[in-house]
Amino acid sequence: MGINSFFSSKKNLEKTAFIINKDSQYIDTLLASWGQEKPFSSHEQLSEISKIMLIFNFYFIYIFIWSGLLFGYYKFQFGSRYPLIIGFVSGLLIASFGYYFFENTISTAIEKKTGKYIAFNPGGNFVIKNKHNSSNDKYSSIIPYDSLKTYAKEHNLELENLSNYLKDNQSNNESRFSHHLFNYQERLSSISGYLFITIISSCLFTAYHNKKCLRTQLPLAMMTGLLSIVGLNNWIYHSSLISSATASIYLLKGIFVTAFSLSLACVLVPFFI
Amino acid sequence: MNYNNYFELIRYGDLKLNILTRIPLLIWIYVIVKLLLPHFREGSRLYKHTLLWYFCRVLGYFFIILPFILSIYAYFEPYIYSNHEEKKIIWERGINACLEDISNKEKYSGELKKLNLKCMNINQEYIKNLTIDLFSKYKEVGRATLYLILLAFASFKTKLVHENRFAITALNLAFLFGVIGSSVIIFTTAYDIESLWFVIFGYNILTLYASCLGLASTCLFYLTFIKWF
Repeated sequence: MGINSFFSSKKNLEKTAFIINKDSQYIDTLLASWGQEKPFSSHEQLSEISKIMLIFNFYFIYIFIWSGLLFGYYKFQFGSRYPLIIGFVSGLLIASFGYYFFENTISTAIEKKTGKYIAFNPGGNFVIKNKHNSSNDKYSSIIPYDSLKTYAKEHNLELENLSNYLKDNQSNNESRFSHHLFNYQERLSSISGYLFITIISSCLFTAYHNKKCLRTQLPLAMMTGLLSIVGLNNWIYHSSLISSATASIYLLKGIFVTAFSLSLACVLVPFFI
Repeated sequence: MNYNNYFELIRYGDLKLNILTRIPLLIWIYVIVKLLLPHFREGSRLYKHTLLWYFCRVLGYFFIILPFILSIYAYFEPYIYSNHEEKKIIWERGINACLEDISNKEKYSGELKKLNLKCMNINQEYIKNLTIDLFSKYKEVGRATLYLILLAFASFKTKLVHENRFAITALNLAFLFGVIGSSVIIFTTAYDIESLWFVIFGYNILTLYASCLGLASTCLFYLTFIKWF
């Protein structure tokens, strides 16, 4: 989420909040559309320090693996340095942009009346009202985040914070979050397997006509395989045993971005030989 | 209450977003001019201009312009098939407008707007299906590339194939587009409009991937004939 911040001239739109029935069948829709990161974070109440630690872990893994490879290439001096630089920088950029997008949530929706795009800030949270206060559970109202309390008083609503709601309904929400998490993991796992197939195809292809090129590509390909097949899938298995969904999402993304940067460098090698 | 503090109309939003997702086409123009056409001309000097050669040449040009044709068609398709009301939205078909105004009766309540959640649910299902479809296509094209290399490059031992710069460049580009397209998965965590932009971007990269594969296959098809006959 948040790519529309490129188009939105107002970077500081006022926060809004959603009001939805507690028992609405569409509550999952709102959760998913908002982005899966935010509910995970609010569910687990991650502190700022633990978030910083997660991001630091990613950069640590990334720089550790790349420094080993760069040292190897520097020591034995084979191939061009440009693919490696492009791969290293693009991986860092993707990770940083991805983090920026998911942290700066500005959402877009199409207005029914005009058929045009409207940007709005969904805020840090949404609140839920009890079912008996509303007749229609198909709609969610958008109200200013600042005027939540006055709104609740005027309409005699029992407002509930999202994180409190999630804590109270933990048994229901476990399956909901697990569902989102496993969906994402499944896609990451399958696409990383495919990424390795592409890299192996590239190496196989160069093996037929350019051995020098293959010599440069192989370490990158092997490291990609190690990360995308062994690292990612092992972590997915491990993360199903522990409860920290946010941590596993951050780390899975980190592993995937590292594998992607290595594979990008690998496929760029033939263009610089 | 000032609505402008909470909502912002994105002017020409559909046009801006369509241009953003069509960035791969700019890359494609660069790739054709700088990397593919020099080898294309080189090939035309090397081989005899038979009927088969002309057939393969036309096929090659078709693969080069295919991404442009598909992109233009995808942009104008909603104009052709949708009814009058839907024509206001020039974005991809299947996306519904879910943000609704508050009726005059409810205006005193302090609500700004309403989100139709059923409508959003339909959008999400649509984008989810597109995402799954995109990744399954990537996997299929990836497998096809592997089989092509195993079959064509392992079976031919002649210099004719192994030193054909055009086929080699086209296949290397195919690998590059395959890897770039896979990075789209990072940004498709939520099935909303923002994810859709990345999915359409991924589809455009996939078209380039398939076109490169098509160019390489056409070249190998021609080389197979002149080797055997």
